[in-house]
Amino acid sequence: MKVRPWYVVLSMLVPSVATADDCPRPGEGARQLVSEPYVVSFVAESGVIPVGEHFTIVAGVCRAGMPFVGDVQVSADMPAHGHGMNYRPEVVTLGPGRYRVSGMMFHMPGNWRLVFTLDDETGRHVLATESDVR
Amino acid sequence: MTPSPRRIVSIFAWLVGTVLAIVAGASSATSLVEFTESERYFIESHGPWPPPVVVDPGNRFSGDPRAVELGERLFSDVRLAAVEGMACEFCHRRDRAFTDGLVVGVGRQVLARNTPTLFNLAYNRWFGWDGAADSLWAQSIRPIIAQAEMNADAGIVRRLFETDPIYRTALSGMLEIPVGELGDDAVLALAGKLLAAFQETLVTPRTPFDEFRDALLSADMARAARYPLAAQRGLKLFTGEGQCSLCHFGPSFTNGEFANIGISHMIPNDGVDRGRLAGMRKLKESVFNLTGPFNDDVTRANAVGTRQLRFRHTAFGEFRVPGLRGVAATAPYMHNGSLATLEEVVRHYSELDMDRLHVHGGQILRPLHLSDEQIGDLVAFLESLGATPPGNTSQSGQVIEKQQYDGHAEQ
Amino acid sequence: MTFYRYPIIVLWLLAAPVALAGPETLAIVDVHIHYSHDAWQSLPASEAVSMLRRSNLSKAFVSSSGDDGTLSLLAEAPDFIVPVLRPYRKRGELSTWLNDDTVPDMLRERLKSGVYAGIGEFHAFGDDVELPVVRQVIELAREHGLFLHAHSDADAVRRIFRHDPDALVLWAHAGFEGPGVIAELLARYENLWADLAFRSEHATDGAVDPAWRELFERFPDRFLLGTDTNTPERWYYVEDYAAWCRQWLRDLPEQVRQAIAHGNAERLLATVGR
Repeated sequence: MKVRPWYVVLSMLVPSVATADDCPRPGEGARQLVSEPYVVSFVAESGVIPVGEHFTIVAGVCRAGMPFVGDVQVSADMPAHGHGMNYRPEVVTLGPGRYRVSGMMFHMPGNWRLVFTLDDETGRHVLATESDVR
Repeated sequence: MTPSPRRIVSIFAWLVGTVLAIVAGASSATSLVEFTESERYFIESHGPWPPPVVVDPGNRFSGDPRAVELGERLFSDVRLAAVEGMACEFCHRRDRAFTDGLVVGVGRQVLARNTPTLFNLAYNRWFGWDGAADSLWAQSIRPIIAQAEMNADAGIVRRLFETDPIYRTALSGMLEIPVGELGDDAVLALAGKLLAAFQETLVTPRTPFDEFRDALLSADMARAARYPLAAQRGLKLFTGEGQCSLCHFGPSFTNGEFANIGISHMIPNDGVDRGRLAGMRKLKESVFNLTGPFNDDVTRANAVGTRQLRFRHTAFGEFRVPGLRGVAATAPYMHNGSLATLEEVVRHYSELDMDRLHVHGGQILRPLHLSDEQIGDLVAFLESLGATPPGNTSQSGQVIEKQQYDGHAEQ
Repeated sequence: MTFYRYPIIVLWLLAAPVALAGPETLAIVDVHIHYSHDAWQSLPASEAVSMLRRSNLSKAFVSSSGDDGTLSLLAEAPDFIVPVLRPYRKRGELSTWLNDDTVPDMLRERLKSGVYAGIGEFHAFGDDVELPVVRQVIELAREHGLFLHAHSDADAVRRIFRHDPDALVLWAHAGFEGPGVIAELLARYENLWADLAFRSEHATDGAVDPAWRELFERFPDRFLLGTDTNTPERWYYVEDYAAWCRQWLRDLPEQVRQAIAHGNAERLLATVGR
């Protein structure tokens, strides 16, 4: 199973964004979600997002080029079918601005929306992207 | 010797007939349904078969030939039940693709659900119609101690392991401490793990569908064309307009999750079957779940689904999406055995009652009002998921092919 | 040991009355009950009312396919059942009703009895609201001072308020929208209420999700509870649902808890003069 390119970004998708060196990047092939001043870079730990199997995401989250300080939540749903995941992902902080999201599972192929919700002292910031997962 | 003119005419007629037959045969042999890119994706996803052998990290005996042998012995052992003459195979009959052919199971009492097959369990994530178990070994304990089924307890199991020389000798070489010193739950976990080691070996064989899939992917059209047209048309509906492959996904034809397909889940004279909702509660309460002490995976990585399970109101009345390999041999169908034939199953989907499904937004399940021919095509496809040629629904699976089939629908 | 035992018993005795008056007995109004023909065939009205009472509900808003189901429950428990008039004569009409021009007359006839608090639950998404049948339903609710129980997306809700800015809308399932969209609509339309039927993402193991907590605390007087008995089986879920709600409501401030459990339903009823 392979992942098709993430082709729709609800906030703004920027392939390469100038970020300070302090901004953590999760690794090769990471995708970026940008909603200034927030940047989320994420990648599936195994390199691919499977269908019908648990997977883990590693993510780097920044605010104005610095590691994000605050609460991060991740959820996903299929907008066309009106259902979410059957599992509640767990977000564990690995270090400043670095997160590991386990318990993800896309239980059918199709268009999934992945949502990062960031809470900090300025309020709530939602960064989302949609992708055809196959 | 010179052939007579009459003989020449007859040879000529034979030759013409043969050529015509070959041409006709060739033209039907090249008949292939056209599949869209999306349909081809799903067809590809339904293989390869058989998949690689998997070892369950939560069961230290998974894949151990000694455990497989003991598990098989246990599976047939009537001393495992506190009901005379009963064993696992009493309901999971080898001659019936490990089902019982009944509407609902009958243990010590009549049960509320249909007895599922035991084929291809090694690839499951959840077990039982409600997914109350997160491992095959935990699921295998349930019927042993269920009062309505085998009604046994840890004492009975321990006694069996201690007194029977075959179990005793084999287990002494497999365990660090004598089986008599194991606690009640540990003894049950042991029995479950032995039974699981055996059941993991039950895998359905390659089927006409697999031949077709592999031929299609390797662009071997002549080989692909041997797959009957009706099955091809059924496959097109299954992977296309019917959207069946969304849930009946992957090599086993299940995404391993749960769905509500509008089947009544009332239990006659006994309220309602809460399905997955009750399964989630039971799972959480079970000492045998993968977050508990009997999971042999020290990393607990295999417990992620149990830890992260999300409560959903929609789980009420959902049941596990069954795999479809060998499905023609496992009638009757659905969690309560309420549909007698594959044709009834397809008709159910074809005429879905949308009021029973909670409608919001784009629906995966919707009535397609299929024609009789389309229904026949889907049935032909489903039958092609068994080892036997389409049209013969009496057998499926390697194991039962070796057995006598008695042909009775009811016990 | 004796020394320790007595204080524990005393503490237990002190705690017991508090527990009895606590969330386990918290009065709940369930605003999303259907008693459609397949339910009344298997569950007589008296038994259906007993099931609702067993869940410790103080009231139940009922709409049915067809409406006779609602009236039979009303006859059984007039002080307990709040009748809501559904525009469906039988099951299977949740998309066909939109183009059935006999529906408004059927509703007019039934509304003469004056027993109803609202019209719904009906299904209308997006520009369905522009259809003449739906427009007439909105108009009927305005004429009779009733609320509309709408299973709709956000677009349809906006359109309803465009047609009647004074409409009273009980938004079924909060449209299955996320907290952001719900907040936007509740802020914009002060006569919009949302029921939480079939929604489970706002609480996990009794703990309210932060985004939803924010929403409940920002709009404490706009959320209501409902099981949605869209199949006969789900009548058995009313009790489970009430117990589940009592669990997560415990995680909210007292006033918010009371409002969502029953206060907001009572306020909605007062708004329509009941």
